[in-house]
Amino acid sequence: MAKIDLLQGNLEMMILRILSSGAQHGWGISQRIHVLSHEALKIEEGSLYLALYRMQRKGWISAEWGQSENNRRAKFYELTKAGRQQLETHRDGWDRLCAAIAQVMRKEPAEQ
Amino acid sequence: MPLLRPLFARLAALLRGGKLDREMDEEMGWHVEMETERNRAAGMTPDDTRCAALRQFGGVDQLKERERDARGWMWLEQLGKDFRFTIRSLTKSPGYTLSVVATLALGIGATTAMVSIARQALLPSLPFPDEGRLVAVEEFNTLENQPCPVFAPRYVAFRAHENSFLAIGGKRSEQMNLVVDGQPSARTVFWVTQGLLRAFGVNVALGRTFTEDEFRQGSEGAVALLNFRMWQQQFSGDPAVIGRDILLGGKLRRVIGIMPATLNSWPGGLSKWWDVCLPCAEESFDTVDPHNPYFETVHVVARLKPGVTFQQAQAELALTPMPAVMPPFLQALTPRVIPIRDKYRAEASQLFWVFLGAVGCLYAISCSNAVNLILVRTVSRRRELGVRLALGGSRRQLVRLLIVESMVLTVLAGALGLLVAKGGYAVLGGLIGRWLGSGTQLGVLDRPTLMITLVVCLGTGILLGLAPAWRIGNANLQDVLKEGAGSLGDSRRLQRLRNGAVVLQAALATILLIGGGLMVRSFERLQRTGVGFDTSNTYDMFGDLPFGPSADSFFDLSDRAVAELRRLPGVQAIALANGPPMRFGYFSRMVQIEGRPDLGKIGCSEDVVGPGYFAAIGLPLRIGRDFAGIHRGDPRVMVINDALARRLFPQANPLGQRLDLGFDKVCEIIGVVGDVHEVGARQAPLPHYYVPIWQRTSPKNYFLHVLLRLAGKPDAGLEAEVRKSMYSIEPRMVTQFWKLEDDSLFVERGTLAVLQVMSVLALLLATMGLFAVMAYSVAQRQREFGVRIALGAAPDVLLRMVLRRGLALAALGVAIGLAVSWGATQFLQSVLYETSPCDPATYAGVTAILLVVAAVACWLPARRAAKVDPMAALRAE
Repeated sequence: MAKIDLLQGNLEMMILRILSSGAQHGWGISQRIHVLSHEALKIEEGSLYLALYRMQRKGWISAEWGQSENNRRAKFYELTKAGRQQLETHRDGWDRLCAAIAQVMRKEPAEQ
Repeated sequence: MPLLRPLFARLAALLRGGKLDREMDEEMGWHVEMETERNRAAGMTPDDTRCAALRQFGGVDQLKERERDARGWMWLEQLGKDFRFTIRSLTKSPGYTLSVVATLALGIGATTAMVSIARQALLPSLPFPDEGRLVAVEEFNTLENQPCPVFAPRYVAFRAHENSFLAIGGKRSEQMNLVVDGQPSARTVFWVTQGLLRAFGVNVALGRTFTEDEFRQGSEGAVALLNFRMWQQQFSGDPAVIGRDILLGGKLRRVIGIMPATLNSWPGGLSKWWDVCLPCAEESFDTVDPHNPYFETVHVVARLKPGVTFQQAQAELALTPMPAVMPPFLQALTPRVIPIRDKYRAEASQLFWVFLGAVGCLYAISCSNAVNLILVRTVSRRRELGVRLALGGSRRQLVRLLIVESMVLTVLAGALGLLVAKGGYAVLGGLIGRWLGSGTQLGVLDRPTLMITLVVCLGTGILLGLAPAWRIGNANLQDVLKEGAGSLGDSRRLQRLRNGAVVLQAALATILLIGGGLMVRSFERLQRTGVGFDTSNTYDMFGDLPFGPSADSFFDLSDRAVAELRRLPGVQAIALANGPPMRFGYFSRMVQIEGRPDLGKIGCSEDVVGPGYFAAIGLPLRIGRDFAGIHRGDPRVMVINDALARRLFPQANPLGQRLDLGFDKVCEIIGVVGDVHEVGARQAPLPHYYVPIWQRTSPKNYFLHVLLRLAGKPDAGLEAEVRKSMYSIEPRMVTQFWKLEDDSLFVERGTLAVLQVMSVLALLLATMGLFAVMAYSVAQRQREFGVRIALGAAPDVLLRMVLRRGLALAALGVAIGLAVSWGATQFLQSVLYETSPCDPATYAGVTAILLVVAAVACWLPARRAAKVDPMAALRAE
């Protein structure tokens, strides 16, 4: 099955979602997305980092250096209050968008 | 602060870009490593593992570059580059840089100086607490329809009846000799009441203020407060002077304190410059000499009670009963309550709006000149800019470069402009410093002034950068490259912009020249009218005699003074008087023709003069004779002026008529002299008469005035010599010596000078602008002229062609300028004398001057056009 391309906003939304269950480093986030999407999404992993830096500048997440599982120095990202609010906004918007698109796709196009 | 977070992040990124880069490296490196590890675990060959990991990750370097772009203030780094590039390119063309910077510095400097002075003139800052409640009380004579001083009996009555003020107080001034180390100097002494200091609410800078006891009658004047400036000058600011005694007015007085520098000059009033304050009892104003119509005049200041308005206070004072001692001709008085702020405002402050307009014109001319120079340079750089665009530079980057350039130029100009402003203060201070209210500090680059300069600079920089940037923004890349390679002329729109700038400059210069021209015309007429007597080389020796000698000892003293002064070198004429001419602006006497009460009384003013007075001041005798040959004890005689003669005897011969001066004095008219314009040339002369000095009634205060006409300009030491010789004949007399001048024209003189300076500068700048544009366009069209000559055009035709174009631009500008002046010069109306703001001669003259100057500015470029060598021009590209 061909992998699905991601829009920028969607990646940010998923990062927010993943971080909502606790601090995580970049590698961990990419693994979580793979696992949760059942390997269906194609992420250029580098752009994940760009998204992380961007979100950090927007103040949605904060970063701190810490110890990884294999005892290496790694940067851990964590949701801020603004990030949590942003996640809610995204989730609402996403639900409505999905419902609307689903509505359109389910109906047979009218006969010409 | 969620809004500021991105800002901080970017700022941090800018400051620690290296650290962030290293962290990014580490983080991404670890990710690839983990990926590689995972691939190996999945069973890939060792060669493939890392490759696959990197593929999965994406182009690391591109990512890093993108991140660096996104996080940083790239443009700020770019700005640094642009800045360095600008400095390099400006140092390569010093001529251009210098002319732009000089033009702008002139504009910015002049604007800074004028705006800062006007700010102080129009919005003075006052040194008093809660100054909004502080008022001056003055009087207005409704009979004569003019302001009038507050006389002591009125002040006493105001104090007794008012209920509006927290404190009210008065001050009178007196001249005294201050003798330090045997050297006498004339000092202005203010006698102040306790209420006055209370109303002002200011404290001393050093020492202590007067106590209640020191204001008691009897102990008056035993202690003194010094003016800060006088303390600096006379006592070198030595604090040890406090507690010492000074010999002032023949008495030893103890210095107890120094007044603050903010009170170096007193608000309002004629004698705002003072030296010493002495305490004065309120009761001292109560004693009135009923025979003396010259009452003590009091300068009154009060502080309003909370909730009382100016109008209420004024209405209340108006109900004060008129004291019985006031003479009939001084009974039609209405008190005026005036905010103290108005007393601080510069005289003729509405003229500052004219000056601001004028300096605005000058500024606009200097800016449009700079725009022109910048545009010319942009055009010659079009190829460079085109190549930048072609190589992928964005328009935004180009615009940024251009704005950085103009910013660098204006900041340089601003720095230089501050120096110009310093010079401007000196010039303006000399021209109009006298108008400024007390407390104005000239030439201080204070914070508001620097802010003004900064704002002016930044605004100018952006404006100047946007002009060429707007061009680039609209330019077609291909056209730029094509034209740059071998253009015959530059774009029409650019040309229009430059022509517009020339027209604007000509128009603004016209407006300023017309303003200056009108002032010149008006001033000429004022001077031709004159003040009625000859002020050149006429001096007044003024001796204040606070000790009140008897009539006999007064004449003894004046004889000795005249004899002493006659010994001065170059004395041509000398005469006694009780005051210099031009000190009356109001009526102090009423006269009527003897035996004709039906004709009514005429208000006029009186001078008491010695023999030879008219000759000494050069006042022409119309008919009759002067006081020569008349002696003490002879019947009373008088000389009247033209204005009084016209009022009293429109038809009859005034000689031999007798006038009743009141106080049982009747005099025979023996002569008629010309009018002295007491209030200045601008005002019509008032009725006035002269009586011989020995006919004077005995006033409370004696003054000794000796008027002298010298053969030429006196030596520098003359004043000190006069003072010393007077001190030797009477040490109690306070001596001053000054030249008689028509002081009334100082507003006109200042306005004239300011507008002249501005209009000459404007003309210079506009000429430069026109010259630059014409020279540039001739240089651009060199090839065209070459072709024309090659095809047989006569050099004369080309010359005329260029001249015509330049003159057409100038003429258009002049026409616009004339139209605008028609409306704008109405603001000058108040200072113009017998000159219409639409004076046709001025308008014609200015038009002629501008067109001649424009022709001269175009002549050189036109000659160059006519002399183009066709072969050289055609071969050039």
